[in-house]
Formats: sequence, structure tokens, C-alpha cells
Amino acid sequence: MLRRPSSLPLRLRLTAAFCGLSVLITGSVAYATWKLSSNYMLDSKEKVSLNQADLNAGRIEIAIERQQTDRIPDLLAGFGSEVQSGVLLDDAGSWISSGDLRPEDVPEELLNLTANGRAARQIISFEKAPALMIGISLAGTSGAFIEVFTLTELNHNFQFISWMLLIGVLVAGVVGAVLGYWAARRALRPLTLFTTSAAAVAAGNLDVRLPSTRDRDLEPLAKAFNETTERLQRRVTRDARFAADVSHELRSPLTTMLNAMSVLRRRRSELTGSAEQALDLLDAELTRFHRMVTDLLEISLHDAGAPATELEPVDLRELISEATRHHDSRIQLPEYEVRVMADRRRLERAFANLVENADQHGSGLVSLRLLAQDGWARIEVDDAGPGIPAAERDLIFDRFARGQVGMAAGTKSGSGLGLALVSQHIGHHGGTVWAEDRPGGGTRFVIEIPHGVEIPRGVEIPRGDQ
Amino acid sequence: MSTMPTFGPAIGLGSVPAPAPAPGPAPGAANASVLLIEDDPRIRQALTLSLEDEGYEVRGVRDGEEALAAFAAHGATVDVVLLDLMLPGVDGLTVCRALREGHDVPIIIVTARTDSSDVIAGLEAGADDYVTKPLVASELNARIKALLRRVRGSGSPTHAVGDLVIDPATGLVTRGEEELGLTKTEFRLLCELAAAHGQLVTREQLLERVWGYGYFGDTRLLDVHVMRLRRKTEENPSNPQLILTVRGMGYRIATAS
Repeated sequence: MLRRPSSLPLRLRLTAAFCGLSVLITGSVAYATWKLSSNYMLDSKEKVSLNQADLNAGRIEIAIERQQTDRIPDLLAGFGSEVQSGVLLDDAGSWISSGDLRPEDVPEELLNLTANGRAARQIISFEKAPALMIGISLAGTSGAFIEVFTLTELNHNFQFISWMLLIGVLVAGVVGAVLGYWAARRALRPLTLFTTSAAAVAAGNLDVRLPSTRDRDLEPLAKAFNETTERLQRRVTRDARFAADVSHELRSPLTTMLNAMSVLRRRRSELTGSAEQALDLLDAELTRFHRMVTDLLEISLHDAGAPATELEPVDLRELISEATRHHDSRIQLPEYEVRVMADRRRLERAFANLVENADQHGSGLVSLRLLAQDGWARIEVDDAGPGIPAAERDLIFDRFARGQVGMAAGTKSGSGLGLALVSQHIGHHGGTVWAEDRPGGGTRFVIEIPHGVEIPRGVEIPRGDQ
Repeated sequence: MSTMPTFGPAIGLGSVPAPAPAPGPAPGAANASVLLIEDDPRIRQALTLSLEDEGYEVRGVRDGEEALAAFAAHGATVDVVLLDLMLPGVDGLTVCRALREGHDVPIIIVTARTDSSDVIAGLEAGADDYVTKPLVASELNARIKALLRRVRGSGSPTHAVGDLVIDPATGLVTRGEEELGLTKTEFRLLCELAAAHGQLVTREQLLERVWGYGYFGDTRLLDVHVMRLRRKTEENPSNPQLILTVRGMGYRIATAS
């Protein structure tokens, strides 16, 4: 059974795992360190304090032995300001102290433990600060010597150490997280590359290959990916080549047919009624077939990766007036030169196809305008036809697509590739073509081609019109 | 060298419709003779029929060997060669070079594709023009007519361009005593450039005047011909002094002396 995949992305999971592990390890080490060091420090403090208390208790014992109890306060004061001491003389509870230490401050347990000549110690809170209280039974009496050592300084040290350790753990956690993020990114880098490569393939760039890797985990993936892309590319090229090869092969019989037809056409008058009609049919279909084969060859050669032709600077005004065979007021060209980098033959073909489309499917060309704006040359081809439904506007540029409009208008000699070729040729020039409603009815085809490239020109010599 | 075809003996003026066997300018389309080299028998047959309809005399052969044999036998009467580059046996380019050897007969090659490297290779091998399949007789007729057109101003006297002497009457170009051996198309190209007297002649103008192509002619056609012409007329073809390129525009003849 498959594990349910976590909803968290791998990168985040890895980062969190590194961070957690790092905190766990450093936390344990810090805890152990703290424990050991604090115990050691407390032990040392206790030993020193016990020694001092023992010494002090000895002096008090001597004083009591000599029955000089009145000297005890002086003695206590002499023990130093660091400590608070007190002496419980007997069970009766008479109490002598050097300062603020009162009998209530001494816990019952400690007193009980100090009976019978023993010493005891206890950590207490004295004047709201931790302190070590040591009780020593005084020999020869039922009383006890109590001494309180403040642990404030030790406590500061403990706090300092624990803060340091805590900060250390936090830093280790952050470092762990960063390391985890970096490791995840590094581990995922081949995957990222794979993703972008796969996306590029999906977008149609079949030249993408993953670089070869020595990583044994990644190599099969890269190999499989590259092989798949390779096979796909071979297949795509073969399919594209097939169309090109077919149309190429068709040209030989087509040559025979077209020339035989031209001989027949010349002798059309020698034929009678139905034979004449049949010849006309054959002639029209042959013309269409010719157009189809040449269009198919042109479009499929581009698919099969025909070498790109060199673009040359061309004045669109000149090109349009040559491409459109209507030399009248419908062709509106500007006064200024509109120079673009173009494959003249292909661009001419695109314009001629659009004008032909307007004539055949759009009830005739209404106008063709050329303008230059914002670095784009814009050409608008208007017709007065029934227009194209919005849903079909993108589809009409598909191969062999014939919208209702096209069908209604009756496709006479179209190859079904005319607009697809327009789209392909305009795309070849880095431009776009689309159809929209023409204000006042009909369709407007708009072409935009980048322009404004400054082309180095030779010596300008006035054209000689001999 | 350029012996023009003779269609029977020259009789009195006006009695024969065929063009007078004048030296230099080629005859018009009517009765011009085409050597058709095509291996596909059906295409050969159909083209022969339709070209005959257009008024040509057609001699069809199926491969390079036959073509060279036919040209050796009847070369003098051939006005135009139509050569399919994809031939069995001796390949088209070799045939083209062999035909060009010592002959200025216009050669039109039939290439696989417009964008194929065949076009350049064929033009460099000496072809004057090219067509692609499917080729139709009526279009071929226009191409052939353009190639056989008389040189403009062919009646004008000889004139000098740089150190070259152009003789429109004979179609010969000489440098000193040496005859340069230009093909008809190269000669016409040189004449068009010379006629501008040092002014720029655009590529479009040259393509239209020499090949009849108009605006959308293939500039490779022109460029290869200019290269061929330079090879014959320039001292150093890679550093031309006579036929200068005006970048992005066209060509002009250097007039300064």
C-alpha cells in the first residue's frame, strides 16, 4: 500500500526535519552540560560553605564552652557581611543572630536533622533570593549554629550559562533549518531542471535535453527523459516530413497533368457540350489541387524545420502595392516609409492571401490600410462580408478549417491553408495576425509586425530612372 | 563562338516568318528550340506537347548522356536548355557545367525546391534561371522569353566600361585583346549596369530587366550572377573595382577612371 503523500512540499519537510533534528541534538547536549556544570558549581559552593560553617561553628562552640555567650554577637559579626549567621542556644529557643536571620527562617526539617551532632544543609529562599542554609549542631549543647550563604552570584552564573545554552540551541535550530533548505534545494535541483525541461517540451521545444549526470540516482531519469524526447522529436519530424514528402512527390504527376491540361484547354473549342463541361471541371479542380499541393508543401516544409531564410529590409508600402493586385484607392499607404525586416516572398504571400480571402469569402476587399505606430507596423484588411462569429475567429487560422462563413460563401479555389499560411508567415516575422469586427459590418484582419529597426545602408545614391 | 540557329536559307526579306539569323540577339519565342532534359517520360511528353503549343520546337532527352550527345550533334540549333537537376546517371550539375563549357546558351534548371541548396549550386554551375515543379508551359514561356529577349539598345555602338569594351552588336566583351566569354545573361546584366552610367541600379530593377521577375524575384539569382560576372571581369573578384555593391540596395558600375 502506498503511503498517503504528505500535503507539505518536500522542501518544507526537509527544512523542518533538519531544524528539528538540530534542535534535538544540541538541546540534549545543552541540557547535559547545564546539568553537569550546575551540579559541579553547587557542589563546590556547598563544600566551601560547609568548611567555613564548620570553622565558624567551632569558634562558637569554644565561646559557649568558655561560657562567653555575650561574645557571640561579636563573633557572628566577625564572620563577614557575606553571610548571615545565627545561633540557637538551646531547646528553649533563645536566639542570637548577626542580622536579619530569624528563627522562623530556619526550616523545621533542618533543625531536626542538625540534632545529635550532625550537620545539614538546605537550599532555601532567603529574602527572595536563593540561599544555602547550613545547620551544625553545637557540641555540648542542644543548640545549633545556622549559617546562610547567599547563592545570588551562583544563580547569576547559572542564568548566564542557561541563556547561552538556550541561544546556542536556537542558533543551531536556525542553522539546521538553513542547511535543510539548502540541502533540499540542492537535492531538488535536478527535479527543478526536469520540471522546466518537461515544460519546455510541452510548449513544443523538442530540442531540450537534460545534461548527462554522474549521479547514479538521477541518471536513469535523465536518460529516460532524453530518450522519450528524442523519440518524440523523431516522430514529430517524421510526421512533418511525411506531409512535405507527399506534396513533394505529388508535384511530378501534377506537372504532367497541368501541362496536359494546358494542351486540352487550348483545344476546348474542339470539344462538345458535356466534354467541355467535364474539361472545365477538371481544369478548376486541377488548379485547386495545384494550389493545395504548393500550400501544403510550403506549410509542411516549415514544420519539418526548413532552414530559416535571411530577412532583408523591405518597405512595406512597396511590398503591399506589389502583393495586392488592386492598385486603387482601397489600398491606403502612408506618405512615410515603413521598413521592416522581411522575407519578401513569404510576406507578399501573406498579404496576397488575405486580399484573396477578402475577395472570396468577404464579399470583396473594402480597404487595406498600412500604419506605423509604437514600433509596430499595422496592416488592416477590411471586407464587407457577413463577418466571422467571435467563437470562430481563432479557428479560421487552423489548417483546413472552414467556418460556416467560408462554407456559405462557397470555397472555390481555396486550399484550406490560406489563412494558416498567413498566420505562419506573419509569425515568422515576429508578428501576429487576428480577426475582429469591422466597424460598420464585415471582418477586419489585423497584422502587426515589429518595425523601426535601423538598418545600416550603403551609400545613398539617387535612383537613376534611365 | 555564338553561332545562331539557322532556319533554312536566308531568302528575301519578309518571305520567311522566322527571325533573320542575326548575330548576337537571340530569336523570339516563336520557333525557338528547347532541349528538354527530363527523366520522367510522362512529364517529358506533357511538357513537350504544351511547349509545342506555346510555339517551341522541343527535343526531349531522358538523361545527361543523351543530353550531351544531343547537344554535341544539334547544339547550334538549341536556343534554350531546360534541365532537371535530379537525373539518373550523370547528375544535373555535371551536365550543367558540361553544357556551359564553351557555350553561352541559356540554361534553365528545374530544382527540387525553391529553398534548396540546389538553386545556388545550379546557378554557380552556370544556369541562367531556375524553376520548381510543378512547372507549367505558360510560365516557362515567360521565363524563356525573358532570357531570349534582345539586349536593350542592341543597335548602339560599342562602348567602354572601365577597361572593358562592350559590343552590343556581337554580344562580346573584351579587355584589350582578350574576349571574356560572358554568357548571354551575364552580358545583359553587364549592359544594364553599364546603361545606368554609374548610377545605382536596384536589385528589383535588375531582376525585372534581365529575368523579367518584377519585384519578387529571388535575389540569390542576381547575387550569384553578379558573382559570376565579377569572376570574369574583375582582377580580384573578392575586392571588386568595377561592379560595386550598394549595400541593401543594389549595384552600380564604377565610372571614375
